[in-house]
Amino acid sequence: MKPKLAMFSFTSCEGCQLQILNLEKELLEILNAVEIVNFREAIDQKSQDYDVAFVEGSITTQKEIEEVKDIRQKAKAVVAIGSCACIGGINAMKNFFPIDFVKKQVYGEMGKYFDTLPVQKVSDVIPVEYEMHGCPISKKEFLSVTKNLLLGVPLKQPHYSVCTECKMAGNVCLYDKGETCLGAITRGGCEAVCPTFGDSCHGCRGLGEEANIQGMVEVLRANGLTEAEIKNKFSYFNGLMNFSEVTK
Amino acid sequence: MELYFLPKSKINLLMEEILGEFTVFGPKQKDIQFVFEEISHPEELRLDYNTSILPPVKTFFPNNEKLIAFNLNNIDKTEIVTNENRKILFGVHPCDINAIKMMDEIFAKPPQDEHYLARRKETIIIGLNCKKPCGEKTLCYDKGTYKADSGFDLMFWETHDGYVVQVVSNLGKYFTAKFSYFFNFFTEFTENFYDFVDNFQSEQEQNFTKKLTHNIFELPEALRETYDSELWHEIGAKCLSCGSCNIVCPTCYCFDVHDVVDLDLEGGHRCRNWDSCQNIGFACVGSGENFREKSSQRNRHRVFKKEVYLPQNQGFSGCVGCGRCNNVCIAGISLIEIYNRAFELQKNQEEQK
Repeated sequence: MKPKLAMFSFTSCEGCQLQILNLEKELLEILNAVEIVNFREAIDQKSQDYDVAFVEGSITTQKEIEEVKDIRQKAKAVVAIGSCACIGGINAMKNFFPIDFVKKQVYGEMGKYFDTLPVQKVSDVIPVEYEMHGCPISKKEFLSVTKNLLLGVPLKQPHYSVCTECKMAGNVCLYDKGETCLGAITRGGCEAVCPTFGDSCHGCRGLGEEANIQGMVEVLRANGLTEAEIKNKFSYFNGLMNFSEVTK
Repeated sequence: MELYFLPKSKINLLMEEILGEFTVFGPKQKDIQFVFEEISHPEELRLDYNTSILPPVKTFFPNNEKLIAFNLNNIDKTEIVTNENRKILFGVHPCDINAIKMMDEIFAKPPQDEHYLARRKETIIIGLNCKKPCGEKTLCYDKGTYKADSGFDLMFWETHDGYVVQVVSNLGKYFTAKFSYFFNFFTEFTENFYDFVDNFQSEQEQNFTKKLTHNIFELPEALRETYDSELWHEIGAKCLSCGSCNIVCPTCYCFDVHDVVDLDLEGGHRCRNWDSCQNIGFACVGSGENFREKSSQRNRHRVFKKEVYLPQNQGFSGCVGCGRCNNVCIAGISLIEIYNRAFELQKNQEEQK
């Protein structure tokens, strides 16, 4: 019997599910090896019986907490996918403001009828086997993680930075063009797709293990960024990190 | 030795001929800088380049290279993958020629690296001498690597309107013989070569400057004494462990190996990627222990590997002074500064004795 995969979506734009759906050629071959039983963007069926759950989105309501705990009980392996699920991502900006203010900003007077909580990443609520970072995830990483799960190969996070991959790609450094970038301390694995196409790295894959945040702040200062701009740069995707606490 | 004179106006014509017969790698413009990549049109070749983002030697040691092909269900189907095709590296600067010489030695030492050697085999290297340094942060004059005595098949010496072409090897002669109609028709060198070289070198002497306060031969000893010094903690605090210095280095040869299985979960390849000793996981072993978990240790290791361990074990320095690592470091870490700090520390210690 083929292993059953399920895709679940919480607070997010569902762009990571779309990335999986975009694997048009490979999906047919994947289906030789697995059965997909839940995938809102692709199929109607829903099933409570699955082996691996790919969970997208951050957790922002009581209902989501219960649902993700239920998924954990049913799945043999849970993989958090995308920045929202792995590090809070853009959603985490919500936590910079009082919850009542947020409700009012988004829903106006109707805000009081909405149950909403500060943003949590999936691993704040349940243990996960792997975090597949990125906004959105890399299609290549989805394939390699799926293959490794099927083969029983241990899953490993890349231990190199976006900068490493950017140099491998032979790119002109954005700092040489008078721009700034977080690639030096951001976890790699995206093949430096943003710098390769001219955008700077915003840190969507989260900060690398033992990232030298203070060193990065000094570099950004030396490149003319104000304290507010630096804070904003870090808060874009990495808002769950307490920026003021980790820097001088 | 054969000598020719090639007017600048004829370079494109020569390139057209070569491109019909060979795969050519050379300097070409990318945005505001230059890369050393495959040339598809004659006008792409930019012999006026300063330096390339990645060094030419990477042609023989590409990133994500397939080493073996395997089949999980049939071990007999395992095959070594090598890639052999005659190619030309056109316009390699002396620092990079010296780097290729070093890498040739490293990869040819047993156990030989078949993959590197296959790509390297029969590659024609056309050198391009530098009249002036390519930037502020190079150490090539201190290291003597601003010129190359060997390691090339042809050498181009720039003049105001052309290039003196010096052919030194059999491969070089094969090259000029292959395009003999071109070289015989368009190119004739009538001056005295040794006078020309003398003049070229005195121009170099005027343009290049030393960056170190001491002789480079004193460096291994001076560095050894910094082992426990505060210097490495200072560098470690600045370093972002991004790994860029290693990736752009023409003499960094460390790699990581991983398997990529096909979607049919049967076939696949074992591949290698360039690795960096500045990445936190580089010295992490199977038990989970990390031999160099601090950035200060990793930085010290990079410098010691190049300037202490390699000279001690192989008899040559692992740095050709090309300056790429210094240019690429956004945190401003520079080997020039580190080396001079080491000399200064040594001097202070001697004065205290």
